[in-house]
Amino acid sequence: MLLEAAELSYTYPGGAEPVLRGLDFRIREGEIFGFLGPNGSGKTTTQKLLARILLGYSGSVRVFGEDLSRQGAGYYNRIGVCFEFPNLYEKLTAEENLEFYRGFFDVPTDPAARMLERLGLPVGDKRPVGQYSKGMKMRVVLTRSLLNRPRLWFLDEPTAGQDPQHSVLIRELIRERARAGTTVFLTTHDMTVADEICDRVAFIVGGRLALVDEPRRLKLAHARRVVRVELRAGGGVERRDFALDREDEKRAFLELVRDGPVETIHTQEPSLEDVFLEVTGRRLGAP
Amino acid sequence: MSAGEAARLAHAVRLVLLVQARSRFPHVYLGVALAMTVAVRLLARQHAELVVPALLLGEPGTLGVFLVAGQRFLERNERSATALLVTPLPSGTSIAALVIGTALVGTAAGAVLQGGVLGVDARLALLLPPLFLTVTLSGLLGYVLSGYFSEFTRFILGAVPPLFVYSLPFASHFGLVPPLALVWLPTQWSIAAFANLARPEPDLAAWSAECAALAAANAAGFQWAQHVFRTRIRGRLEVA
Amino acid sequence: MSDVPKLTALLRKDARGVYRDRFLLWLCVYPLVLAALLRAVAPWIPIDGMRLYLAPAALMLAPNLLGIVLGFALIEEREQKTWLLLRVLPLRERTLFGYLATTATLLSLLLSLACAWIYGLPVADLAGFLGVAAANALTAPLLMLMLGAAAANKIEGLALGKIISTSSAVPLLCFVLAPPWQVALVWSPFYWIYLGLLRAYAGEAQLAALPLPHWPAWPGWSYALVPAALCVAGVVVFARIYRRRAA
Repeated sequence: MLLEAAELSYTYPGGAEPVLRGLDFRIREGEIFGFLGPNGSGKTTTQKLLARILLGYSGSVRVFGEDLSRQGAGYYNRIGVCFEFPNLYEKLTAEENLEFYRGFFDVPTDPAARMLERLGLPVGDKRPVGQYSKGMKMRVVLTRSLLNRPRLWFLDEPTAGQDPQHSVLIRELIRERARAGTTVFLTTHDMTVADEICDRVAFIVGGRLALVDEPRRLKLAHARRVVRVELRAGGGVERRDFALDREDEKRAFLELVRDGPVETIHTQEPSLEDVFLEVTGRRLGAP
Repeated sequence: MSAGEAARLAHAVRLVLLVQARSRFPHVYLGVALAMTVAVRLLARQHAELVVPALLLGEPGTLGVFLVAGQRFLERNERSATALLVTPLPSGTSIAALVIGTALVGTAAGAVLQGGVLGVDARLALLLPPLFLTVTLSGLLGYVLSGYFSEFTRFILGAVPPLFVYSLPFASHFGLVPPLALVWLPTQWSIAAFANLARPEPDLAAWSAECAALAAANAAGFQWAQHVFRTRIRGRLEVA
Repeated sequence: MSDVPKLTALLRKDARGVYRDRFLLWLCVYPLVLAALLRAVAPWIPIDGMRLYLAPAALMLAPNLLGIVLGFALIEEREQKTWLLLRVLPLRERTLFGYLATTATLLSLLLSLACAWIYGLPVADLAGFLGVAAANALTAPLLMLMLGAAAANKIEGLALGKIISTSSAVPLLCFVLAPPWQVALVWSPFYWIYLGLLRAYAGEAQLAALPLPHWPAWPGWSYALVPAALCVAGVVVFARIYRRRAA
């Protein structure tokens, strides 16, 4: 296991209530692990604790086989953090931001230009990043988080503010890095991203983990075994549902497929958001 | 300090200077130093031994209070300080870089003033250490104070009383109070050093004592700044 | 709908803010404390007429301090993009800027008159004094908008602040520059205000007796009207620049 958390709890200084309440989870090396939850559930707090931005948790966390609370400055040589909001020196160019960042690591780093190109950003651009759009700034932040070739990569809403083309690019990059052995800790409330790329997801609500499992298994476990057929009838499109657990409906479905003017057939799995709602009683967008 | 730590510090100082330079601060400040030099030569040349030390304490000597705090609040708005937190750069090195970067600008400005009014001679070289240490001290004060305010505008007002205390040595310099009464204040050593180096024949033994006292004050100030970082700044590096 | 009720609401909000917020209270108190300090220190400085020469400084402190602090508040709003919220309110921008400029001016005027009273030097030409004091108060919105418009962030603001504080020492040059050369200083409102206040304190008849080597021959009304015009023009220009840059 690359990361193991047991009874992880945290209360902000001066806070009355704990924000995290006894989280237990493990992440394997090379896994893309998604942390899903509504706003204020504790996703970003968890990430900040694991990235040692916040200190003073209770419980136990081991990363790279060592107690997190005992990790020194060298820990940052092995992790990369892509924040939710752009946090760049606005008066510096993208390459300047990246080159300065590279200079702080003790490990080999990738050249800034190559990384910028990979994420569709201009190389040799003299404009300060303050003039970039939010999407471009976030891609610079993402680029920066990879410079030191991290073994553990923290991503907070990596596709937020990106157009569809760059959103696809970022998802591809995440998968590519995971295949190369990077472990990814991803916090998001974008179900498409989580469903598409995460190996496992954890649902967090009110500082507690509701469950941890693979997206596919979650959807199958909460699926209705129903097939929806669309067919042309009477000059329009007709929809019919068939419950595959009922023999009569299964027979009717097979007859329709054999003889009928079927246009589309879809199984009716729930989305991850539907599963989340069913398990936690909360919508992902709600606080 | 190991070679790696020194390299990281130098790198961080370069970053601080670049951020300041992109905002044109060093250019403006050196221009102001030049203007002050011209004004002193025109208006108060015959009182240079009195005026130059006072200006050195009043201007570059207090530079760090607002510039270091200003940079910290800017990083807070830009969230750029959080990005540095997840690198191997120790927080102490980050503080030192901010303070040293500022002190380099202040020292250069002070050297322009001293050299322009009193001449480029051995006194100018001797001025650099106590001047540098005074500006770093002001930077540490600015850093510490900034930990107690949530906004820069509040900081500006809140810094006035500590700055008043910091500037009390003007009273001893102009003969209003005996210097011994302010010997507990590090800036008393600063103005003593500047006044020492404004005379035609500086007292080198006194100069050594003044530099040592300022170095000790900086060491204590640095510890305090690190404490404030751990207890007041670390958890509030970004605007919510 | 007229802007008057909205302005009244703004005024009420800000007044409540001053009452509840210690920061704003201190902003008002500091110039008074500094004026008292100047009064205490002046007799100790071994230069003839120092009390008179420092008197204008006691008045010029308040708008200077207010303008710089409020200017940094505008920079902060621009950095955090909160100014944009005001752009989408049903309140004309011209009205909002007018409100900011007026409240800054009135507050500066009150504070600077209070500072003059604390400093305690009798005034020879009261009408002239009040005219220049009003022009002096206009430097607060000028500095506020200059900083807010010209500085993209706090570091630039500090740089600009250094330029402002250096240029506020421009009046000292009238001690060394003969009158024809003082034409080079007429762009600075501080030049007019400093000389105007000296003139108002000393009185026309006493000016010749002042150990001031190079008194210029400007007409009496110019010491109030010229800086007022410079400040108003500056406020209009910088308000436009701020609006453009804050978007």
